[in-house]
Amino acid sequence: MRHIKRRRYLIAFVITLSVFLLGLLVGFSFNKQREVYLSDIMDNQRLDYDSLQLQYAFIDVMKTEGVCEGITQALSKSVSDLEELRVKIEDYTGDDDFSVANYKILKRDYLLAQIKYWLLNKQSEKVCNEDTVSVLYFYANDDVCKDCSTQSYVLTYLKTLFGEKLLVFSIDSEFQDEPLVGILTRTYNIKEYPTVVVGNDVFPELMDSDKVMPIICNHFKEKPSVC
Amino acid sequence: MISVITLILWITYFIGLFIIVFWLIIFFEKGIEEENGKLKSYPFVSIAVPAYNEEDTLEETVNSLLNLHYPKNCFEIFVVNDGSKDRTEEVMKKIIERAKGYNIYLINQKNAGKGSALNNALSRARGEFFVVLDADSTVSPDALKKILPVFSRDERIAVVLPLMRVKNTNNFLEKLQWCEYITNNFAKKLITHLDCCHVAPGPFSVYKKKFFDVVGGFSENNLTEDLEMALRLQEKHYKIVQVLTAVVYTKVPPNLKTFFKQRNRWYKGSVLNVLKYRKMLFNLDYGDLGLFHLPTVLFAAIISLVVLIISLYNYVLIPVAKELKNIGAINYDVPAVMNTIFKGKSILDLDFMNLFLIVAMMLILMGMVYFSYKSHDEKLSAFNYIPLIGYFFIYAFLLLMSWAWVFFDLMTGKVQKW
Repeated sequence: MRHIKRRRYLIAFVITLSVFLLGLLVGFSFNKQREVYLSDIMDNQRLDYDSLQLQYAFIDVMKTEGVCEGITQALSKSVSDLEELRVKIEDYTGDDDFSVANYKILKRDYLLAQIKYWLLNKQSEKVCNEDTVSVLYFYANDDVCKDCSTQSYVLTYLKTLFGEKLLVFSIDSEFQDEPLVGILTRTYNIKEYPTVVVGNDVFPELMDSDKVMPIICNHFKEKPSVC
Repeated sequence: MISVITLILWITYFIGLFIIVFWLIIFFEKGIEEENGKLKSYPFVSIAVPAYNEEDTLEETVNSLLNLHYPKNCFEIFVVNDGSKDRTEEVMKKIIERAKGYNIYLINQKNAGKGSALNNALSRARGEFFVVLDADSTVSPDALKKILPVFSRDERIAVVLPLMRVKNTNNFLEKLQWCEYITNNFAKKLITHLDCCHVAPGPFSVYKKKFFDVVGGFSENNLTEDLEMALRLQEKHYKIVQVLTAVVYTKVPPNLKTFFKQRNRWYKGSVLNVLKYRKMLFNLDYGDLGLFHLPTVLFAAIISLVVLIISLYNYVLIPVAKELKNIGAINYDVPAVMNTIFKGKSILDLDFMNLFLIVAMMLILMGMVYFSYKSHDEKLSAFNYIPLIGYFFIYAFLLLMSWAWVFFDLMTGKVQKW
């Protein structure tokens, strides 16, 4: 019969638990920082949006020429930044099992921003008549849609090729209850994910770069060099 | 909700951290300093060297025994030629011819395994102590003098183990094992404090012979007869003690093929023998051995393997497959996306929760390795840090691969002979 010093096990357990809880605490605090960081980006996006909207209204009212190019570039940059934000929100949601609800609010905020920018782009097309192509991209999360992350990758790649001439607006299917998402889904008869809409052409499948590039190129009035 | 994978990983971190913290507590509580005492008399010692195809190493091994600082009339050497097909017998005869005045004997037997060879020597042994020395190991001259006084500490000490050092350190794999042996010696020293040693390895384990009368000889149909004997002694509550002052040098496998073969035998043997003595598992009558150490031996590998598979699947296989699919979808135009890899990246993108736990565990583990090196008077910079870096970042994968092979063999019912 041997003796066991229970105190040793208890001390080891307490130290382990302390280190473990400290780890959780560090993780939680960084996750909170992430939420603050994303919210800050979103706030900036709102300001950018208001600024852009104001500029378009100004051009529309004053019929000023020669400023459209700069504003279109700013719009393109805002949409790209928004896409980066979307990827971050998706990644962070995957890492943090405790803040799913908070991230859902951020995702909804992001979605509304996308739709606002999409509408602003429509306004821009009328006011400025710039030679850009806009793509609406309907996606779902990876559990439902196995090809969506690849489709995102392809669109990001195309964005690096076309630059400000290509505008990609991503619509998350998770928010079907959002009235405008419902309207867009019905308008383009979206039933599968991923679905890519170029102009008014709807492609309900994974569109690799070889497939989608000629379609995008056809929508330009004057074909860019990458075409 | 937390995903199942996250939960499994957290539980594993917790258990891993607990084990390391527990041993650190033992270290700070008990230390590793030892006072072996001085030998007051020279008891007769029998040394058995089982040899199978050892023509290359046998001479050096036996010479190290002949050079022991111990009166030559107070020890005898039995070299048991276990049906070798090479020149082992011839080499041994020459040594005997040369070693006039020593009690040195060659026993030839049909190939029957190490356990049988040891029993053969044991049946002829006259000594108060019985020593096992593998034919690929050499012993330092003062080893016996430093080990024998330890037995006087406690009547229940049945075996005393020397400090095992790696003899061959030419290539990377050998250097990794050099580092592993240092940390293992240190761990075994700590284990001794809790009376939990579950193995008495072949290189120069010294047994008090009278205990064989109680527990019997070595198992002859066992993959790891040394481990089985240690557990049999532990079952009877006898003690196994590790010392750090008596040094023995052993040859480690120089290539991956022999390395995996050796580990497969060791690990399979440890699983089968722990299961054989499963009555000790979680049995409070066996103290820390039953409650803590044997379950660690049995389950640590299983848990680590599960985590390795999950981690490889989740963090390597899935991302790589996804990336290949993505790159295929852009017609492999990798240069175009290369400059966007770090675009928009922030330090907040890191998974801090898991990172903290992994770093905390690594730091504590590094502390253990530091104290291990210190206990061996080795510098962390030995061999230009190569063993140390490899030990932290590669060695675990090699060991887990060995364990994966063991589980595959066990599940398919394949158990090789010694």
